[in-house]
Amino acid sequence: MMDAGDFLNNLALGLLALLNVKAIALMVFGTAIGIAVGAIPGLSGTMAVAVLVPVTFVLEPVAGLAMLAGIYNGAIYGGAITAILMRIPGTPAAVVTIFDGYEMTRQGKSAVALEAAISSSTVGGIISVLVLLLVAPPLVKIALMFGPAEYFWVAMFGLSIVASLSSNSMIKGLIAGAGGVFISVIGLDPQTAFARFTFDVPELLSGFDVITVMIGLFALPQAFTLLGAASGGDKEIVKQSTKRAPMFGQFRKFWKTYIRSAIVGTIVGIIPAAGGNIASFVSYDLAKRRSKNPETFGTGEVEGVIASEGANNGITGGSFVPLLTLGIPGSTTTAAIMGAFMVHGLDLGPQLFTDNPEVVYALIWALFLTNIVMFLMGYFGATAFIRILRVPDSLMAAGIIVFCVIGAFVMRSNIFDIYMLFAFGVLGYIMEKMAFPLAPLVLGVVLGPLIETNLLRALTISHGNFFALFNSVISWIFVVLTLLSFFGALKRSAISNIWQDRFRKRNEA
Amino acid sequence: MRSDFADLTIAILVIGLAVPGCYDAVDFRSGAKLLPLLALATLIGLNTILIVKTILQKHDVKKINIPILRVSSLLLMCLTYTFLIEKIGFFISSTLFFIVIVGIFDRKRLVPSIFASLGVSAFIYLVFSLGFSIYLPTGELWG
Repeated sequence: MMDAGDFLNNLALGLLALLNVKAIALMVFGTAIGIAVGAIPGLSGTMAVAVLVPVTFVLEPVAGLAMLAGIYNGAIYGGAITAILMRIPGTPAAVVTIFDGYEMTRQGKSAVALEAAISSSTVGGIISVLVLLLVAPPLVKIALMFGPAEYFWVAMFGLSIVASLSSNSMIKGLIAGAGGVFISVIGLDPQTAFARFTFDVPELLSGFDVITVMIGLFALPQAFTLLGAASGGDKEIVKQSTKRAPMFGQFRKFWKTYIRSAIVGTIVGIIPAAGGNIASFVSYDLAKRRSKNPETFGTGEVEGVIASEGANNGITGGSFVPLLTLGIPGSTTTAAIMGAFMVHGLDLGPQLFTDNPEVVYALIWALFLTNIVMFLMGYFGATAFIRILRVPDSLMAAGIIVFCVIGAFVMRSNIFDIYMLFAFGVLGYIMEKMAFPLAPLVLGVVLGPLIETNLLRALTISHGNFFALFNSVISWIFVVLTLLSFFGALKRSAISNIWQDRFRKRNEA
Repeated sequence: MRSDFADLTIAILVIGLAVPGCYDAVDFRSGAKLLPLLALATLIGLNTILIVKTILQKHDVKKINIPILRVSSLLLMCLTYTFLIEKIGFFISSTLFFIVIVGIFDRKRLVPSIFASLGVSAFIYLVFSLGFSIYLPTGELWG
């Protein structure tokens, strides 16, 4: 294992790489964008990350990743603002926050609810970063023993997440995942440079740009939906009180809930594809069970807001554990952040810790520091972010489209990529309307090359012997994990539905 | 459109594209055809299951509402916008795109929106082109 000296040295390297005006400004900018996007219903942090990943192309890797860390943290917290003030969850993870947050707003205590949301989000985020810092380095030591066969199974394990991301329709999710893998094989094959499905179009020889696919799928459908629903009317914005409660008193009173929700969120975050909404549901239920006054939950209980928000921001650090150590994106947002590493030619996995420790530790520092920035922004200006809702849908949608165009063009300076962007945008829009999940498609596109390269490499080394894929204990561990992840997804989805049904019934009652 | 009809259409379409894809892939070099064939065979199998499932589960039918006119006109505008980016450059075409979108979808605020469009386009252009030093097309027409 890495000794304490190396660990501290890497921590210092990361902090030094991050401490410059550009990186700090981008962290602040990213956090503000994240909170604003999170507060807008219909727009997601994944979209904001996908749109801004190409911008990191012209930035230093550390500065670009710092901005994306800010967006990720900010967007998850931002969802609470509209959940509390308008009963609209800005993000799916903020659904549980509505139960008590909006009730508090109705009772004139919105400022107290917002304060609880930002304090628990910050505590959740910081604890999850500390866990990431402690868990990731030991995992890297194990990952260094991986060869092509092991990496093939790691990628297959990553692909099995498709099943978890398809809770509404498993078959449609699997189709989307297989479709993603197929999209990834278009172009020259990695071993012999044989042109596949290129139809003599020279631009297709290098395949589809992953970032263009991601922006098209995640961002454009949201712009199309905004315009599809744009009425041109004025939006109604609710006025809110500014009365606060003493924050440290609140922390003293509910410190167990603050810590417990953060730990629940972090553990759920480490499990690929489990998601912030599951973390919030589990944490909320635990808080209610352990409360002396469980009957107050759902009627404007501040502890309910703390439990929900602490857990959904707790997933941020946890979700980076599989991404940084194994190269598996555990959520759609981390899949988009993976794009930023690809843009800079940085291979995720254990070699990142040995070859570019300053990048890894700077990212961990950025996740930590953006929680502080998020706290300051949320504490002093949460209600200001609500003003972004006044921007007309048409202007917002046009802005998103223009940003997408820049994002698609900047990667290869190729107009063809902009046409492909719109093709994937339409595909994403139709898929959303027909209840095909988008995340499995992106996962297929991202993991397809990893699967193919390592499969071919393992077969070449073993002279075509397929059994070489099962030669090591690590391979077998990942075979079992893949099967468990795939078949366990069915069970998890059923459990999640039971949790949600139970809360819906209680809330209605 | 009914969701069962849409699912059947999509499944048949995907199978219709995947089968000739398989024929193509069989002729690829040995290493190059492995994953494409696996992916296409999986797509054919899964879509066949979707067809059978859709036919058997008739009770779970929903209505899919796609504003076809709005989306297709928006797509046409996007394609025209892309064409114009190549010809007259990013700044002018983006400004026009903003004005057209806001003009069509939000007629109430047309005049302020024109100024907002100009401002937003200029801001985006300056931030990306000067701030981040990102090359944005200047247009073939201007050399």
